[in-house]
Amino acid sequence: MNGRKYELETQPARRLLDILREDLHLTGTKEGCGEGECGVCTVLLDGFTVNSCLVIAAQISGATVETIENPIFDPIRAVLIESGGIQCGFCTPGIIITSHVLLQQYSQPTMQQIRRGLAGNLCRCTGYTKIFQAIELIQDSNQK
Amino acid sequence: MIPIDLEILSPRTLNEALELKEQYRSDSLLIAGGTDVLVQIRKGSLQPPRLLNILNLRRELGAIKEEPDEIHVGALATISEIESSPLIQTYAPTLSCGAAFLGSPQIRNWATIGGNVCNASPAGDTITPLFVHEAEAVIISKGRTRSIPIHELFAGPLEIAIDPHEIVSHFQIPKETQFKWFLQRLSQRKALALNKVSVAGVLWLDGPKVREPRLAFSAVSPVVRRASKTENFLQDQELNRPSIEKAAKIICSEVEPITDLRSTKEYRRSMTGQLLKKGLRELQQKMKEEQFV
Repeated sequence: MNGRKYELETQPARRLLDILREDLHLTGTKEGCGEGECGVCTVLLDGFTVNSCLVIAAQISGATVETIENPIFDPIRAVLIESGGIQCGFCTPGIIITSHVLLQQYSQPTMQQIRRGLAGNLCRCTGYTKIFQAIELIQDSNQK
Repeated sequence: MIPIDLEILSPRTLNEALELKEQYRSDSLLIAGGTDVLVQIRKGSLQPPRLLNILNLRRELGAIKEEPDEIHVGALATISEIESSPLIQTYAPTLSCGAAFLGSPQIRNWATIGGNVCNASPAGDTITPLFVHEAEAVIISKGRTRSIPIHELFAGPLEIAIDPHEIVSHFQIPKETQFKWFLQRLSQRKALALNKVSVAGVLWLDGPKVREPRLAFSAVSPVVRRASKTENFLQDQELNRPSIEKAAKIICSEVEPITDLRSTKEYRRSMTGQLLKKGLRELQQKMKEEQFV
């Protein structure tokens, strides 16, 4: 979990989302819909994005998890703040984590790739435009 | 809510899993990624006495590999793996295309083809492609392996035709070449939306003539089905505007859509024809372009 080893004992049906928030007090990961439809609970599991509301303890013995508290996500957060891509902030952790993986996959994503890559993260406030523009900004600054 | 004390068995080997399935039969429900199962349990529409978690069996059941005449697609291959697999893109492109439409990146990273198929939704995004590529499903149980054509796997909507002690192990897809293909899908949004109707097609072209057309549709009948009347019509026809129009009329008569939350049956019926036209016209266009190369 974010680079540290934890040993936890819990019921096998317990959701990763609840383990993060309640047992580890990592409340950066939020619950939106509880059924994998909004992406607000997105974390990295063994390096790929998943909805932590649909992952249960029985499935993650020995897994590596990264949550928004991990400093690797700070650069993207900074750009999102600067560019006005955050309003209430509830969707933001999920957006940042998904964008991080997107930028690993494509160093210069097109607008279509950005939109497709973020299709699993809903935002009710911003209308998405400034979020997508922020990601374009990141790839521009990566090139310098 | 997911019952906190739900019993979950997590076998470490395939043999262990088959023993448990033999023992518990209908009193155990298989879970891999769980992106459908957990949602249904949370809503209360599924209330299994226990879950049989087979995610540890990725080594045995998760491979996508090439064999002499077929590709082997393990039931535990994730939808993302299927989307990006060069083997599947080459030999079963409607499957990698269909996989790309499923859910969202987060769901595709966790959901499996076995789960999507065994959920047996009439709108399953990986199911229609398996029909047009004439896949076989390999089903295993303690002491027995059997193989059936994909269309025999579905007894009805959300009803998979395997026995309670059986597990779907993998799919075998014949390595075919030189075919043309399309997958047209209609949904409310581009992601996180079940399809209202989709049409998949694989066919060969002999000059302008259609050979061995295979068409399948989803979400417009109780189970995914091949459009056999439309296929019979298109066989040996020239691919042109009149034949495409006629084919669209026939496929509209073949479907049995219902009205539900996502669409009315009239719209679905009409759109089936439109999607077929769109798919075939794109093929026709590509055919014309290739003549100039």
